[in-house]
Amino acid sequence: MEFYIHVSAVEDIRRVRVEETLTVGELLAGHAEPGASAWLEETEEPLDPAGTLAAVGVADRAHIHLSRCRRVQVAVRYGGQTKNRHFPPAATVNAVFAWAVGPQGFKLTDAERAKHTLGVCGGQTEADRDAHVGSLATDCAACFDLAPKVRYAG
Amino acid sequence: MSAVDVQMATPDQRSFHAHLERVPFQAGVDHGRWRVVGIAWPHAIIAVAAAPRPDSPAEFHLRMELTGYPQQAPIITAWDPVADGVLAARKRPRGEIVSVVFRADWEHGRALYAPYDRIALQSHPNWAREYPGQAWNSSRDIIFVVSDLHRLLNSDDYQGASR
Repeated sequence: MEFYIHVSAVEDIRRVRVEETLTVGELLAGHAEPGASAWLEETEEPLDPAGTLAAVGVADRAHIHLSRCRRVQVAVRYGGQTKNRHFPPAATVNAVFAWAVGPQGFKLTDAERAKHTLGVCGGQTEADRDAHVGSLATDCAACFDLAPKVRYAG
Repeated sequence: MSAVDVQMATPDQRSFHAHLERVPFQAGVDHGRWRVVGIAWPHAIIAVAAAPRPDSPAEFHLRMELTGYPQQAPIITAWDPVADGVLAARKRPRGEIVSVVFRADWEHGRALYAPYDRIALQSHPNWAREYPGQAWNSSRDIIFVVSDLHRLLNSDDYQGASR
């Protein structure tokens, strides 16, 4: 089977081909630093290291995150305020955006939400909505600016 | 491309094909975010998926002119695969920000109004300085372009288009 591996603090993803009888622990031993766990994308709990990839539900072309961070402290800055929340490392930027603009976040209206986006603090580009927060974290913490989308003119 | 094709190909063509093989591009294909419709060098047509909207297409075709890639930015034309020509204004994706990028009233609709389009960048020499995070440079690749277009077409700003 083939799937994609995301690693903490590394934006590039890798594609690997392994037997589906491989265990999660064996995958970690070959592709992650000691003490790391594995998560399926957008899931809260790490995969059982004793289970085979097939048994724990890893499908072909799945996205798996390998990290020593059990949770990532996410900070989102907007309008002079900062809101914080912990996310699993395999949460996507899309999930962070949904929280940041929602009722637990900055409570943006539908119209405002359509005009805003997330960028990594200090960066110049929009964060990839499918990127994992763990891949954008340093020391298990990530920071985003909720900012107006660029509107090209003149 | 076959091994013979690779030998015959020009450097820009080889670079483009190599970038299509990059993991993030292939992950996007697997994810259904975009697909290569066809390549007839120096042109390639890539379809980018759009969020579901009433009576709107599931994807938009972009025809890219890739001479000099990646030193030069592509010329990106919103394309009508049925008419095999420039996409008519009424069929273009709409949205407050999306409509600006896909405007048809500029350069006869043959280029996108974004700083990763060659014509737009050449006619707005200030854009490279004003939009450094979005402007094309030789370190960019086709993934940069399709990722941004996919973001636009799957944002809350995107309101759909006529079929």
